[in-house]
Amino acid sequence: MEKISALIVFLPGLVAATLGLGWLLGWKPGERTVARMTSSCYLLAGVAVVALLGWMLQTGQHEVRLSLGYWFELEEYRFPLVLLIDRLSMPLVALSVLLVGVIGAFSVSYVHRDEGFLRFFVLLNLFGFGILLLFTAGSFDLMIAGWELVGLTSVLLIGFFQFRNDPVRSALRVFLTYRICDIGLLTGVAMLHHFAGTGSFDQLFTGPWPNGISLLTGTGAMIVGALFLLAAMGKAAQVPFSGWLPRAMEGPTPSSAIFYGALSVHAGAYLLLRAQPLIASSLVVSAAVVTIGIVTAIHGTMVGRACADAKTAIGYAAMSQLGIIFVEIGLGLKWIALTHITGHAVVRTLQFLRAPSMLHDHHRLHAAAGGHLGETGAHFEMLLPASLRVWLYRLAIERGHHDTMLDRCIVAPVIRLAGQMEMIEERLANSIIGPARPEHERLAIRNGLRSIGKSGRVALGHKLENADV
Amino acid sequence: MAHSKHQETGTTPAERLGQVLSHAAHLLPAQGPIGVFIHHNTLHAFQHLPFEQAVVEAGRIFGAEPFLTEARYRDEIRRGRILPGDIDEVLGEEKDLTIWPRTLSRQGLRRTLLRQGLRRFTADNIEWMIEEEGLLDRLRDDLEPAARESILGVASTGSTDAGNELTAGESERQAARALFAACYRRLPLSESPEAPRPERPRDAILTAGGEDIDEEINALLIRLCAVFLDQGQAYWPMPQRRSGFYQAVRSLFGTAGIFALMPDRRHFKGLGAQFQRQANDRMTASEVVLSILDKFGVAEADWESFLTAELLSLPGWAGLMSQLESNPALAPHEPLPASLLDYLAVRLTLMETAAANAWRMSGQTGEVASSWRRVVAPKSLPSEAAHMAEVARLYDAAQMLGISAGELSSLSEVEFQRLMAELTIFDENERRRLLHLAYERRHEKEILAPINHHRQAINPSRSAERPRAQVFFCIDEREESMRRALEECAPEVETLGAAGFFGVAVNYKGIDDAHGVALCPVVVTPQHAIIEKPAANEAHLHEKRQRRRRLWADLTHASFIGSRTLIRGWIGTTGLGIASLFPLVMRVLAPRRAGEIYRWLGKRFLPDPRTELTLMRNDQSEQAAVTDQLLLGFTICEKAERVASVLRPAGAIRNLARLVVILGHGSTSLNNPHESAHDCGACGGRRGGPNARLFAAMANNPNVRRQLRDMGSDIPEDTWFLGGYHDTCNDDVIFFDEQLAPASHAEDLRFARTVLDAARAANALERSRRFEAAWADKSPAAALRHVQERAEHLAEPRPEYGHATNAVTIVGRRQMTTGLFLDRRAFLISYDPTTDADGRSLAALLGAAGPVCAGINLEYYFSYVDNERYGCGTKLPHNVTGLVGVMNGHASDLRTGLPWQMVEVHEPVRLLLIVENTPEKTLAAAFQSPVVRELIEKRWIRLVTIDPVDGTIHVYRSGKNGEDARFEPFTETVERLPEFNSSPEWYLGKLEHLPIVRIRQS
Repeated sequence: MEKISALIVFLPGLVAATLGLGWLLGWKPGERTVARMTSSCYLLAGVAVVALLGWMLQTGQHEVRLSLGYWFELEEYRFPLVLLIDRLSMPLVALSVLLVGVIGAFSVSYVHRDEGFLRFFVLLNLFGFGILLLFTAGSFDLMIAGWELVGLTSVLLIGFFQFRNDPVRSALRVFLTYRICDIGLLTGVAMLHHFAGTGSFDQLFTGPWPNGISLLTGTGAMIVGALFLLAAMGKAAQVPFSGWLPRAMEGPTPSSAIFYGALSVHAGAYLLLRAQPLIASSLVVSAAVVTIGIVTAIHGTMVGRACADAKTAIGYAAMSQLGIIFVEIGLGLKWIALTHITGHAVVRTLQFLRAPSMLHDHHRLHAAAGGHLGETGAHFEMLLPASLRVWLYRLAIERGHHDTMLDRCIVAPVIRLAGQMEMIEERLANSIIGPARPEHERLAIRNGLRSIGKSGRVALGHKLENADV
Repeated sequence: MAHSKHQETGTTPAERLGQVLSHAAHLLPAQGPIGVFIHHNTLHAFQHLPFEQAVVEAGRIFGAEPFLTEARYRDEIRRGRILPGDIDEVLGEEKDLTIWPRTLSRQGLRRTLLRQGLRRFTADNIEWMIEEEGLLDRLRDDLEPAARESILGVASTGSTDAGNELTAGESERQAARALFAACYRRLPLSESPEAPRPERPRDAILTAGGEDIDEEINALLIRLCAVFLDQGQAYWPMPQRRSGFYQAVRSLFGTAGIFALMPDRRHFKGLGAQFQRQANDRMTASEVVLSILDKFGVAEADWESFLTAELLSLPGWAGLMSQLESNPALAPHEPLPASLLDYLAVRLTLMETAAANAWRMSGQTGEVASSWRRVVAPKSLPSEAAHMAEVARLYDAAQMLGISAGELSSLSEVEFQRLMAELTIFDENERRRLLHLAYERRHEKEILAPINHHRQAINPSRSAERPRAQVFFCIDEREESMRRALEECAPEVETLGAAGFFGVAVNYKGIDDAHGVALCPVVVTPQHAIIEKPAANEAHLHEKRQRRRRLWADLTHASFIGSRTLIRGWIGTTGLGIASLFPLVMRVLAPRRAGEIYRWLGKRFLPDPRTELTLMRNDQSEQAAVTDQLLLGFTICEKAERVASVLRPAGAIRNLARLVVILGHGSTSLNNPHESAHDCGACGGRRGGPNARLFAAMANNPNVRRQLRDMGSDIPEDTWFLGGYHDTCNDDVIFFDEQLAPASHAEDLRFARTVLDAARAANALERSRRFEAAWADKSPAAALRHVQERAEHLAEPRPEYGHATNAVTIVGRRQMTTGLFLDRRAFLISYDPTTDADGRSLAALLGAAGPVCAGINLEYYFSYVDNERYGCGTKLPHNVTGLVGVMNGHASDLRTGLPWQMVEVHEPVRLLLIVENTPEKTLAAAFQSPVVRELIEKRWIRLVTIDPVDGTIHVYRSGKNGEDARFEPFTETVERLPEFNSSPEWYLGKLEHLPIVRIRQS
């Protein structure tokens, strides 16, 4: 029965691999083939989830563990690959299978006739595989694989419209934010191995979720916890890494729904929830999680109130709830956090999918209310003085200036550093191979005119000469 | 666009600025808030120019495509959609001239090049063409034998002197190279063109190696525009927006003291101070604009080009500001003091700051305001690749013309320059223009030849026999299939077409509406209001309904806001979130079932009172009733006039059936911001049900009939009018006020119900043939379910194809086209020329319907030929903004025009307007409307007449600038028109556009 968990996780991966590799080899499956493969995959996975759940309930097991063997073994040290379905991952796995399946069905008609149809479904299935792997990983090491797949597919779907500038630029921005925060997960896991010698949950915590207590405490727990927090902040769009969330709306609506309403944004919360015993053992980290959560919740709700477009408004509403989820985790309210995640994911998915109906819905509402909907935002006018209101509104419009600050504190220094490095490198290179080529020649190369530059011209000249008998 | 002549009229600079701005505003998209989508000519601002000139001119200004791509036309030639003969005919109508005496004329050159097609050579692909495609290794393989011989012959004699027999391939290679070398030698390296002067500081900064400040400006400006114009989407309304855009933004950014402490983006350092300075000087928006124009040294003569360039950086948002300024009533919920001048003041202030910062950051010295004009791109090096591409174009042309290397080399300089001049003016746009004309010429023949054949075979006069029933449809081309389906299943029913507002221009407020809306063509302002009221004995039901609706609205609104705010959202999502699973799964996996459940709930929850249209001003006491400055209802006389205005031109008044059904139409779909674009164009982008109901009520009124009789239009005693509504998306047909019909007509009503039910299912089947996702072997019932599912589907970006494929308007008797399969591509206007001796009816019909049809047709044309610039691109990333429009993603320009999913099956041809009357009468009637006259004379529509007596066809033709206008007889016909027993027999299993065939009438 344990093997079923592997089936659930790897089915989407298999579909993604089949479609993706087939595509590379020149296979062009029709839309209907792709749709059938996807729907049967999630149908089967859904049946498997139900069977597994039934079996767990019947036998009273709280955990299903499946060892896939070892990635590598070095004398004493082993790197086990374990899938774990317990009371934390079961609801999330069920939710993922359901939501990805529903989004798949939605996208069959939504993306119909788009030239990127196949690409969309490869990425969607790959995401399904990634998120399921993330939720079922039995160790933090394995979780990284799922985490990265989720990040990668997320970025590629933001840049889905690859021939337009804005989506590609936004995708790049999201990618960089992800990468910076992923440093947290990677170094966190490395640190975990350093301090505790393992990344497996069963060796790190005393019992199954939610009852375990962290075996690693003290400074080690604080460092690892802080690093995991950094990772979680990126995926969950917490302050100050929240600026990427509106940019992520460049992709097709169903991908916005599954990533930024439903699953991907909750991956950070899941990481913290999984590492909760570790976080709970460090007061500093717990306090940091709560603080960041509070700040994000307030930031999200404030900016969201000033958003006039459907998708961004939902994104910020999600952000504020994610802040609250962080607070819940920081306070150790594990079950509430888990319930909140599931409920929230479903609500936002539906809201994203219905976002194009905003016009229609509002019009109906307006008419039904007799042409007069209750004023919104009134209690702020009562509570705050006018100047503060304007200031807050400006702050909301500028999205809290987070991007400006990130640009100033991280982007600009990095660019400056890179520029200096380039100069040093160039000087070094010049000292070895002599002075650089004249400016106009470099310009020509940059303009892509090297095609028939000097050499090409000579070659062509030769050809012409030869022909010219 | 020369507007300079208007410039001197203003007196103060502010007035002159206002005039310049109103001219510049013409270039902005004329689309209002998207909730009411009105089709119009995308290039309305260019309508005073001949079509072919306008599209090229507009293409230059907007950076858009004027026609389909040349490659696309070549595909059409390949698949036989354009025939060589069409190209010849089109060329034959253009001016000819001699290039080389006796050997080469312009027409000959163009014919040769168009038939075979120049390959595309650019600086980017030339190396590839040479290295990989073997450009220099062989001649084109589609050369005419004569041309090939002429090139090879000369080359081979020159190359066999070594005595070696060369293989055919080798001699061809040598000939090709020799020709290329000759071209290369004759064509000197041309000077690269002078780099253009910067139009505005942004261009100068870009050229100087700085960043694109438009990106920074637009990112902020988009957000500001969105919150300013928001109609109720954001929770917090923008502070102080009632005082106008400029004031609101200034107070937002110009705050002083502690609140000014905000980290500015690097490009906007000093923006707050800038706004403060303006506030301290109490500057108005126009003073701000004028001072910035002055600061940047823009002379008055350059104002227009400078401001136009700034406005066209975000045409969608600027256009909406301008639209709402000229008509604040367009705002669906919150009327706002929008003003293009305010917008410009904000934009230029942002630009001023961003330009100064970017200038500094790019390492430039001095002030951007004084130096930007002097920035000119360094003259780029003459590109060898570009030269090679030019040589290759000559090489390609020379091959097709059969000019060998020797001939080319021996051309005199004059001869060569003449050839080059011809080739230069025969540029890509010119080739596309001619190919497009050929493309349209084929379309014209595919339509007119079968009609010609059919017209000769039938008698077009209306039958004297009384039809079993008559059904009036809208002229909409989507109803063509519905009418045909109805005639196929009940030949004893006569169908007629009239503009879907059925002559009643009203401001209508239904029982569930908060406000009245205009139900008439946009050019008409209704003078009369009609209010739907519950029947007296069901007023209590109405109250209950409204109470419950309000309750529902409060609950929904609260949960909508609740799910987005902090604390309420927490409770909502944690506690009740999982309950969303049901609508989510149902809506996506079983949309039709979900729709049924929601409707069932609605029926259980909301009582449905019987209603009537009140205050019809039937007696003296009601004469003076007004509401909101509109007359309430119509007087007897007004009613009679309106009834006659529909029945008379159609000729129906002479032979009315016992039952006359009037069907308005509209379209419902879910999750579709462009829903309104599928509604009735004649009702101003709204649903025309109330108009049909109102028309029937008026026509049934005994007093109105008496009045009509006095006017000479007798409606038989036993004729009953029944209003109805056809939903073109889910193909529902409903009737209004059935209970009012006399008992004697019960059987007629039943009959109408039965035949219309059969017709709508058949119509659904025909519509389904275009949907790839609907398999072809469906039965009408299954097709009906399919289209119903589309209407209810959250994930359906094409609930219906709307007006896509529209191409023809036929104004004439239905008898002329009955039994012809017109493939849902023809607007059908019922017009009986035999009862319209003075042409008054025709003038009225053309004046009203002509611009509507042309607007739809041209909007589809432009949205199709350049979907990114003129249309709004793919729907998939669309994001509804402020309830006024859609953006791509989180911050883009407001996207105007039609989405790709709506136009993807369209065939971009200008409307072929076919009128059943003599050329003289038609032209006289059409020219009574200046708009229609312009459309015809400037070639925005193609006009054809069919003689009502002998059926001879005349086509209106003119030169490309509208000169030499004349009617030419069209004599082509088909030998035999394919016949089928039913429409499905012909269309089932086919996705593409289908030619006209005859459907046998049983």
